[in-house]
Parts: sequence; C-alpha cells; structure tokens
Amino acid sequence: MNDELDTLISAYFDQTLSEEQLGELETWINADPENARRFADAVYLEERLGAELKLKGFTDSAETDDKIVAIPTVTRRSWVTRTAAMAAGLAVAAGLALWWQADTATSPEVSFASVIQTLDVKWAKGYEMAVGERISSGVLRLEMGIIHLEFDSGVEVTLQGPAEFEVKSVEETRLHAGVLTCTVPPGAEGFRVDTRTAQVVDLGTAFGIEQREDGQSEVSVFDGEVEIVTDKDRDKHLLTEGKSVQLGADGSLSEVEFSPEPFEKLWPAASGIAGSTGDFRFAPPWPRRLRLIQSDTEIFVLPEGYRTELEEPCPIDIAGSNSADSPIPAGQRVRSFLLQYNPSNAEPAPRGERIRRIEGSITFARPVLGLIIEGGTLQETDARFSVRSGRGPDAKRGLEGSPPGIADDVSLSEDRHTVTLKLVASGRFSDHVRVIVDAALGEADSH
Amino acid sequence: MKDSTQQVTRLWTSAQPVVAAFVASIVVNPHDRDDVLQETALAVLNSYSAYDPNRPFQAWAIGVARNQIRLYLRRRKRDRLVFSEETVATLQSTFEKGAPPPGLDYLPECIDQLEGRARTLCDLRYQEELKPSAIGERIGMAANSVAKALQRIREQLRACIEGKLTREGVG
Repeated sequence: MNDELDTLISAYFDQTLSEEQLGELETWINADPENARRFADAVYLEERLGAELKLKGFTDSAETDDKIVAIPTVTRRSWVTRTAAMAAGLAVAAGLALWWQADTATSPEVSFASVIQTLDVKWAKGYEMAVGERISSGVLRLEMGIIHLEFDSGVEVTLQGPAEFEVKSVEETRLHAGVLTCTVPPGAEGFRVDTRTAQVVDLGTAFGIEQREDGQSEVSVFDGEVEIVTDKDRDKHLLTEGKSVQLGADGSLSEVEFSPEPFEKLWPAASGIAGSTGDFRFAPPWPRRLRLIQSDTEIFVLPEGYRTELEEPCPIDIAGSNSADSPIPAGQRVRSFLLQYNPSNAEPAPRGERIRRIEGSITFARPVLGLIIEGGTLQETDARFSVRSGRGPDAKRGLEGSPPGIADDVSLSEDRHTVTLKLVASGRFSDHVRVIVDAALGEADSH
Repeated sequence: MKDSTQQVTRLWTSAQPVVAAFVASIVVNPHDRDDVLQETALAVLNSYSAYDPNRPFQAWAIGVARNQIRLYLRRRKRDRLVFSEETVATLQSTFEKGAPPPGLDYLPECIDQLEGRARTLCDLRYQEELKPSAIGERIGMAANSVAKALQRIREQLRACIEGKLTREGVG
C-alpha cells in the first residue's frame, strides 16, 4: 500500500488531516472503485480495532459480572454494548434498559419480570411459560390456576385464570380479563394496571382487580391507595385502603362495598406459598384489620407485612441451613409468616378424654431460613415483624416442650421448603410459630 | 414479540457490521458515530414497512444510514474534515456491494502481540477515545510522533493479519 496514502488514511481516522490533505484523499477514493475498496477495508479494520479494544477494556473492569446493565446514556460505550443497542435499537428507542450478555450472537430481548411461581396452572395453547422464565413485552394467557410474577422493580403480581394479562414495560400493564392482586414496594410507585375502561395507578401498596369478560371490573384497595383514571371522562379518583369501586363496561365508576373475597384464592400464592395440606387457613399478605381469630380446628397463616430487609440479625430457634442455629444476618431480604393456633379458651379437656391433634404442612416457594418457636425468641422478634397480625393474649406462647405425650412437633423438610406442624389441641395455650423465608429480589423459585 | 419486529431485528443484526463501517467511514467522531447509528437503527425500525423484501436488506439499510448521515452533517456547522457528497455516494456504493475483508477475527490475537507503549497508545486512542495531541500530553510525546506511531501500529496489525491468512492458506 502506498506510503503516502497510508499516512492520509491514518490521519483521517485520527482527525489530524488538513483541508488540503482531505481533498487529496477524496480525489484518490473517487478516482477508482478499487481505491474506494481499499479505503473501505481500512475502515473495517479500524472499526474492528476500536471494538476489540473497547471490549478488552470493558471486560477487564467487570471481572465478576457476566451480565451488565447497559443504559443508553452510559459514557463507556463498548462496541458490544453498541452492537447490542443497534441490534435491538427498537428497544433502545423505547428507552428501556438492556441486558448485555457475554455472547452477542443473538439479539437480546428486553425483559422486565419473571414467573416466580405457578399453582395448578393450565396455560392457553401457545402461551406456556416455565417457572423462572423471563417476561418481555407481550401477553400472558392462562386458562386456569394461579401464577405469581415478580417485576424487576420488586412489584409482585398474582393472577388467577382464566386470565389475559399484557405486560408493556416494567411499570405498565393491562388486565384484559381475570383476577389480579398486586403489591408495590416503596420506590416502585406509579406501577400501572389498565382495565378495559380505566387506568389504575398504584401509589403504594396493595390492590386487586377483577376484570370480567362482560367488560365490568372491580378494583379493591387492601393497603395504601391507588389512583383510577377512567378512559371515558379522564377523571381522577383516589381510592384508599378498605374501599372498592366498580367500573362499568360503559366506563362509569361507582363506589361499592369493599369486597376482598374474589381475591382470597390468590393470597397464598401472593404470599409465596406453594401449597399446603391439612388444617390451615390463609390471611392475605397485606396488613389486615383482623381481630383475634379463634378457632379450635384451624391454624392460621398470617403473612407479616411485605418482604423486608433485615436491619439487624434475626435470632432463630431452628435453622434452615445445616449450620448451627446462628441468627439470620442483617441485610438479608426476608418474608415472615406467623403460624397461629388460637383455640377458644375452653376448659381443658378432662383427663382421659381423647386429645385432639391438629396437623398440616405448608410448602413455601422460597427456602425457609429459620423457625422461631420459643416464647422468648417470639417476643423478641414480634417487634420486628408483627404488623396488625392479630396476636392473641400471651399468657403462654411458643410450642410446649413437655410433658411427654402431648409434645408438639415442628419440622422442616430436607429441601427447606416445607414446614410440618403437629399441634396438640389442649385447649389452653396459644401456639405460634414464626417462619422466616428467604425473599431476595431477582431470584426465581426452583421449587 | 411481533413477527415483523423479530424479522427486522434479525436482518439488522447481520447487516449492522457493514452499516456501522459505512457510517464510520464518514462520521469520524466516535460519539457522533454512535448517535447516527442509533438514529439509523430507529429509522430502520420505523420505516421497515416501506422496505421491499425483494431488494437486498443491506443496501436498503445503508440507504437509510445515508439519510441519517445527511441529517447529521446538516445539523453540524460546516466541518472541514467532512467528505463531499460525491465521496459519500462513492462510499455508499462501495459498502453496498461489499463485505468486510477476511482475517478480522485474527485481530484480538494480533492486538495481544503489541507491546508496551504500542499497547498503551491503543488503549488511550480507542478505549479513552483521545486525540493524538491529548495522548501526547498524557504520556509525554509530541502529537506528531503519536500520529506516526498510530500509523505504524495499524500497519503492524494489518501485516499480522495478512501473515495469519497466508499461513491459513487464504491470502
């Protein structure tokens, strides 16, 4: 290759050409297609050189991570990020965050949520999804059963089929049909679920929508407040905790009696419970105005608030892991459940009468980190977790250790997901077990 | 994803090395280049319905890029270092018909063979996107010397690739 031309081309790339030199280069390029070809080859090499060096710089500085979130405004743009951005330029156009994967041979799809859990689900044909699968913009359709989704923002949505649910972005969705409950953690306010005739925007923290095929829908707020904007007249309505409205197919809005019943079946899934056997009854995962519930024959499962991050280590009595019963470390994200047995304060059964046993098992979608069964530990952790969960009189709490013959039993399965409870209904004591379940963000359940 | 969106994404992924090179041949500033490429990607998506599938996609995409380049050049004040319309047209036709030269995949190995200062110069030039004068200030060299050194590095890399191609039996 001509030395002088090499110099010109090199200087062109480094932007050090004079106007006269630029003219010389252009004349040469335009003189012969073969020249243009050689110039193009030099451009390819230069482009690739820059890309490879950027890539080396990028990967050198991000040793631990395989996945890097690349937002269009990031100043350190690697060729790979740029390539991915161009390949999915459409997604970049919508201003969405892009997941960069080590092999960029395939065009990355932008996704906002994961399927965390399914319960007896029957997907519509062609719409099948697996637990752990990522959700990008599109429609989810199920004929029956319950699914639990978790958005990258921490928003959780539980759906009961038959249902059709459209995901547009990490904060914009539409319920075409079905029953849905939704919890929105701090920081994710503004999450929106559109019904057929209105927009429902969550201002924190929990609500439910029932969208019927005939076009009518009902919105109930369990905790916090939501803003409803009807398509028809664009009016804004603020709906607060303990209130419901009905949205007619014609776009009208009317306040109705608060009715959480249509959502009851979703509560276990919404709480992260995968299944249960035996004598359990479930309360919803948001704070409840429950008075002390007394029942001789059922154990109540009371989720204690939403998932939280432990500010201090949490003491436990039975460890979920193989290690000793050391406290759960601070910083861990957890969910707490209070299993509560509050029989009516009847007289203790006379001696000789058959003693009733209550048993059952609960399977959680995520692993159990620890169980709290002793009165002292229960009291200590009450302050942390107990939120309007309707605790009873605490004359004596915690599982009885003795005397033998009426000993209670609580055990954790080997895979740490199932808690089995055997209680003796002696009619005198309230029994509580607090279950601390792993709730780290961004991890799909493998159960 | 809709069918057509998947389609255009696939087509775009295979065409973009050529389109990127075409844009790079005219828009030398790296940040501007990124912007023009991004605009081109958007334009390809938005006007995909106007694309005639009987025509080669690469050529069509380069045409879209050409329009974006034109808009970009108009937006900037008249820059000395910008090619004329005639040259842009020549380059468009060149890139439309061509493909990247062989051997580019050997670049990473060839880069690894660069030593000491040569490698430093590359890092400053391509990772930090510094101009020769800024590089010169950073490492205590005259800007001219930096420019010459970069030219020699490019030649060295080209020779390295050609060497590997010859050994491969291609060159």
